[in-house]
Formats: sequence, C-alpha cells, structure tokens
Amino acid sequence: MSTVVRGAPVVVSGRPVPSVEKEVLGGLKAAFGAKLLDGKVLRPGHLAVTIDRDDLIPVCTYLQKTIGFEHLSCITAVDWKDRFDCTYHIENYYNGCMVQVTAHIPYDDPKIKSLTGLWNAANYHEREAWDLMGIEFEGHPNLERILLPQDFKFHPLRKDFAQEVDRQYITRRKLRGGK
Amino acid sequence: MKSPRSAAESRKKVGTVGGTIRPLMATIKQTLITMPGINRLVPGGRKPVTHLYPYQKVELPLAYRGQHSIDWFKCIGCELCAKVCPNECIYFEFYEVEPTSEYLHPSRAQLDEMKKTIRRPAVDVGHCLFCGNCMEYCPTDAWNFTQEFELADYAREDLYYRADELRMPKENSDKEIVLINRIGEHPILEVDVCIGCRKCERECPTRCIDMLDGPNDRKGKPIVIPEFDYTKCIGCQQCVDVCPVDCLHMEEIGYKDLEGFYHINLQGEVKLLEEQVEK
Amino acid sequence: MPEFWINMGPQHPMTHGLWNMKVKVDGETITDAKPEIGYLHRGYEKIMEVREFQKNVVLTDRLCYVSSITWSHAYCLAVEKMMGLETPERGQWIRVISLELQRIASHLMWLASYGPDLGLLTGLLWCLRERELFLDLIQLMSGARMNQNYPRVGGVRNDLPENFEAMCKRSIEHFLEKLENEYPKIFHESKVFRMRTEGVGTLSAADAINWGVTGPNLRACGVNVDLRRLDPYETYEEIDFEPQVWQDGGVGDSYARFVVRYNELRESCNIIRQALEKMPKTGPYRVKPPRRAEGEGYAKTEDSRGEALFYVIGDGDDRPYRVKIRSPVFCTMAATPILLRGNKLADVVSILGSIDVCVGEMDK
Repeated sequence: MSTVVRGAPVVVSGRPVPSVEKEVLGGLKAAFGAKLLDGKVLRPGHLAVTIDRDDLIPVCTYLQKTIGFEHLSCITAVDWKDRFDCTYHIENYYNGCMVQVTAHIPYDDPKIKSLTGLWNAANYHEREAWDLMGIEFEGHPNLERILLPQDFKFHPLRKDFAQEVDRQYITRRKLRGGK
Repeated sequence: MKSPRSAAESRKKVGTVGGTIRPLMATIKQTLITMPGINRLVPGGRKPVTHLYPYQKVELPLAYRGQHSIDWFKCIGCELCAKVCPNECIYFEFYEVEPTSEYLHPSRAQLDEMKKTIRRPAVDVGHCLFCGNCMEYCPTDAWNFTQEFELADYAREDLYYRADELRMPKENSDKEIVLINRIGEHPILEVDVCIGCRKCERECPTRCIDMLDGPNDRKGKPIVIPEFDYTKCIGCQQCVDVCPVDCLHMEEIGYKDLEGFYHINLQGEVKLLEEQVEK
Repeated sequence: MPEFWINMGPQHPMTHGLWNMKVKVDGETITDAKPEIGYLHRGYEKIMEVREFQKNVVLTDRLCYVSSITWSHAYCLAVEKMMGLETPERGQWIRVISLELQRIASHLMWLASYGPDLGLLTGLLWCLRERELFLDLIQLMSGARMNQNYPRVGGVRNDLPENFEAMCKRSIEHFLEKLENEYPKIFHESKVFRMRTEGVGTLSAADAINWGVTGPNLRACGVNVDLRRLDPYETYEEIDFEPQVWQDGGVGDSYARFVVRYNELRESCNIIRQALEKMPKTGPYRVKPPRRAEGEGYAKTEDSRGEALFYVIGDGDDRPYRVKIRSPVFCTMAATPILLRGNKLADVVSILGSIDVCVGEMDK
C-alpha cells in the first residue's frame, strides 16, 4: 500500500498485488474499529465490509483519499423487506483490490448520504438507485428518475411492487388453436 | 509473444493529397477485386464469397439449433422441457392411442394403457428463443434440433407447430431408452402431510413411484404413501406440481460428475461458410 | 445569439439505438449536454428475480446483442462466485476463446458503425465483411450466430468442434492480414477520418477515473487498466498479452479511442492464438451447478465496452434474490457532458460514435 501515490492520474503497473486485501482490511479496522460491523476477505483481492449508514462518508473518504481507491464501480440497493442495503463496489486501480462496502438503511427511512462529492461516477448510480429502489441520497445535485418516466409513481425493484404471483411454472394443459 | 506494433499506431502525420488518394485507391481496388472479368487483372482478384441464398443453401454446422424435432419413441411426456423453457413456449398435446401403440413408453406402458393417452410437446416458434435448454435437460434424449431454418410463415397462428409436425421420422430414431436425471434434484416426501391420493403415482412419467402402506391419517384410517425409486427418477417435478396438499418438495442430489452429461448436438467436422463457395 | 437546446435523438442517425442527447449550443459551440436515457428499459433486474439461474443466461445474452457472450459470461461468473463453483480448466480456456471472438465481433461492429458516422461507408462494408468470419466461427462453436446462450453456470454449453483450431487459425490469419494492410488505408491514413477524429472529445485521465469511465475509453486516456490483467479471471493470467493503452500523450480524443479499439482487435487475435495452443486438448468443460443457492457474489469482467459487473444475491431459492448489472456504457454516458463541452456541434457524432454506445446494456 505504500506504493500508492494519490493524485498521479496515470497508472503505471496495473498489476494485482498478492495479499493486499488483508492489508486493506487491517487498515480499515485500525482506522474505524468498532464502526465496522463486519469485515471479511471474500477471495484474493476482494474484501467486504459492513457499516452503518452514518459512517459511509468517513469510510469512503478514507478509502479514496488515504489508500487510493479511486474507482467507484457500482452502487447496488437491495430490499431485504425489513431494511435496505446499499452496496458500494470500490476498486483500486493500482493493485486491483476491490472493497464491497455495505451500508444498512432502515426500511421506514430510506435515506443515505450521497457520494457525489467524492466520485462523480456516483451521480448516475444514485439516480438509478433512487429511480428503481426509492432510496434518497442526501446532497445529490440532481436526484430525479433516470430510466423510468418522470411521472412514474412507484419504485419497481422493491419487493412489494407487483410481480408475477405464482413464480412456479404453471402447467398449461390447454391446447391452443393452431393450424 | 508480443503483437507487432504497426506503424499506423502513432499519430503519424497524413498529407492532404496522399490522405485523399490512398483511401480512394484502396476502395477502388476492393471494388474491382471481385468484379467479373476484371478480377483476373487485379492482384488478389477472386470470385465473390457470397451465397445466392434461395438457390444455394449453406451447410450449417451440426450444433446449429434450427427446427425442433422430437423423437416420439423416446419422449415420455415428462414436461421437463416446458419447465426449463425461458419463454414457456412449449405446450403439451394429448393424443389418444391404441394400447398396442409403439409410442407407449415401456416404463409406463401399464399406466398409459389405463389412460390411453400420450402427451407430446408442441412449440410456439413465434415465442421460441432457440436457446436449446429443452434439449439440454431432456432426460431421455428425445429432443433434437435440425438444421432447418426456414420457419417463417404468413400468419402468427401458423408459427404454432403441433406435436405431430415436430415428430422425428421413424427411421431416424434409434429407439434406445435412456433415463438421466439432468435437473439434479429428486422429490422428498413429508409423510405427515400426505393424504394418499395417488395423484403422483398416476402422473409420474417413469413410473418410479410405488404406493406403500403408510401411517394412519387423522381419522385413524390407514393410507398409502408414495415411495420413490430414485434410480428411475428424472427430477421432472410432475409429482410436486400435481400434489394437492404440497407434501412433496425437490431436493438437490449433489453429484458433480459429468462428461457428456447434458444432451447437446453432436459436433463433427465443421466447415467455414467461406469454404463452401464453389471455386 | 442566445443559447438554446437541441435534441439529438431519439431518432437520429448518430444514436445507434434509442436515446436522446440534448445539447445546449452557443452558436456552434456546445456549452452543456444532457443525455436522456431509458427508452429501452426492459426491467432486466426485476425479470431476473423471477427466473431460475439457468434461464437468466438467455436474458443476459440480450443485454447487448453485439457482445452477448461477454455479458452472459459475466453473469455466469458472478453466479459461480456465489455458489463457490470452479470451472474445469478446459472450460475456462474455451470461455477465453469465445470471449475474445466475441470481443473482435463487437469491436468490428463498432468500427462498422463508426465509419458511416463520419461518412465512411466503405468502413461499414469492410468491417461487416470481416465480422462475418468471426460470427461464422462463433456459430461453429456455439450453434448460433447471435444470442448464443453459450456460457453456462459452471462451464460452457458444449465442447469445441473437432477441427475448430484449424478453422480459427485460418480466419485469424486472414483477418490479421487485412488489419495490417487494408484497414489503415481507409482509417489511419485517411485525411478525412483524421480531421474528424483528432483533437475532439478530449478527456483527461483524472476526469475519466472520477466519472467511472472504463474499458477502451479509459485506456485511451492513457490509464493502463485492463481487468484481464488487473484482476485476472478465467485463464487470462497464463496468457501473455499487452493491454492496449494510448501512450501518445495523456489526453484521449476520439482518435485515441479508435486506435485503442483497433489495436485490441489485434491483441484479441493474439490471445486466441495463444489459448488454442495452451489449452488442454481434452477434458471436462462443465460442472453441474446446484439448482438452489444462498449467499452473495460478484464478478467483474472486461467487457468489450468496459467494466461489466454482476452482483448476485441468492436466498436459497432457485432464483436470484437480487441481480445488479453494472453497465459500462451507463457510466460512460454520465461523462458525456465533459466530453462534449467546448466542442463544435458537428463533432458530436464523432465523439459519441467513438465511445461505443450500446443502448441495450445501458438501459437494462
């Protein structure tokens, strides 16, 4: 991790570094301690941490400014029926390490801080999460629907949005008219 | 092995005259290269490699997924293909047959005789994706795809292919019976819930269910419960689907062997389209 | 003259699909831009929640019909990571070959559509002619020219045909010869093409990283990031290849993006050749996946347009609980205002053509 130079735009090596994930996880644990609800290594180069939604900005600022995770790959919102999860996949271009940061959001108050101040890439991802899952990102410059029409009333990826009731295959014995 | 870096990669300056003439010459050369008569004069001249389609058909590889063709000797009507179909475009048609019919599968001959019906798949080609899942999971290798690709028709109703139309010619079938559980699951019974209605026994396409004496029901009357012969079970879930009280569920078998486990098209020698042009 | 908005799309020769680029112009100069997307939104993530794992492969094929194998491969890889499966070695090599064939076909489709954008109809005809070679190879391998349904959770659908290696080498040799001698004459050495592409749509490396631009568009900014090298999946770490990066100055313009993609065609041929030599000649190519799975997993792959990421969560059913698709074009689209600002209106076609928009995967 010591080789990381923040601010240099051109990545020279772009090669995977062995056992970097333990180093990053150790750094995160040292910096945040008990604020990390969960932290584990998924596979070489990949780790997952779980935090509360209030700690999102400090954790992501630490990841970006201090240890050079400069690429926000993806923002996923998951409806767990009793809570929401907002999962951020953040990647380091120098050593190929990827952190999956999961933030818990209570169901009745789906709000979380926006990351657009750190990564501009968060802009569209957060708009998509708002559009499809109805999570409000505080501080987002332009939080409006992106994929669905502006006058759409629902957030369709929530589990209570209507979906085929019987998900099993229904045997269709009835012969349809043909030739 | 490093790839050679061409000189064109760097930002080399291109002159106005040369940068206009050279592309023009290259285009004209490509135009003449297959022009009849002139192609002999141009270096690299050749005949066109295109096919005159309605008169000249290409030889498609064996892996090509064209029209469905179902081996009626092998098909046991388990409806597994309809369940793995992503678009649910497979429908089952019922045919009344004589008890002596050769299409009655030996494994369920007795039961079929009772019902005197066989069921065979029909496909709505207008919805079909030609993904090949039906063939892949077919437990008896009855599904096949031919190289026939001209399936377009004038009316939407004509795209519904009846089971009769998809029947494979008799002489193409090897009539060999295989039963492979390609779905990797088999049913498990919850004895307390079962009411002994025998629906699963009647529905099972491979007749792997035997009804044995079971415990008494709530009123103290003895009932029968199904016992599964898992060597014959193909994991088609028909028993689960017909069960009126949901006492069956599917569970993983958990094997991971498998070379040639799935039924897929044979792949012999193949030919590029380009090679098929008459020189 | 006051500034005003112009709609380029949804029906416009530039858009290659249905989306709308609103540009604000001051005279001829673009001062602001606003992409409007969602015309092709089909609700993939919702549909996938009610389909079984193996049925979703055909859906992911149709995310982008130009590079369907790379997309269904990314999905299969994510599901494998969730289930904890490992593809047999030969299966991995076959996947590499199919991915690179698909990448070539996709890049050629891009080049074929980029030519007519700039008034170069010859490019369309030539590239589609060569793309036919690779579609033919893909057909021999998987049984279909497009929407192949070829990768599977746990491997690939079927083995390679017997004489595939000879066919593949023959086509690649033919293609490389064209790539060296014929194509540069109408692209690199054409004055018209150079004037339309050079110096327009510049994007600095810091901006590109911050806006989440990935893939060839990022490498055109001089950033040496290729997920095949940075986070090797399948057997890419055993292959000796060179990520194609624009090294002639750190700012990527349309020409840089063109050159990076053009060189990737050659590099992909190199990868296929190596894979054909290094792969085991026989062996299993597929394992049986479990039907039901629990847990979560993600996989990121180098798609032909950038970083494709699938995040799959299973809850023990035979269907995924949640699937998230990270589309590279969706993220690149966020950066288009930066790309367009300050350029002339006539260059919009040249810039947006060069970032390789595929509406199918962008709108999901």
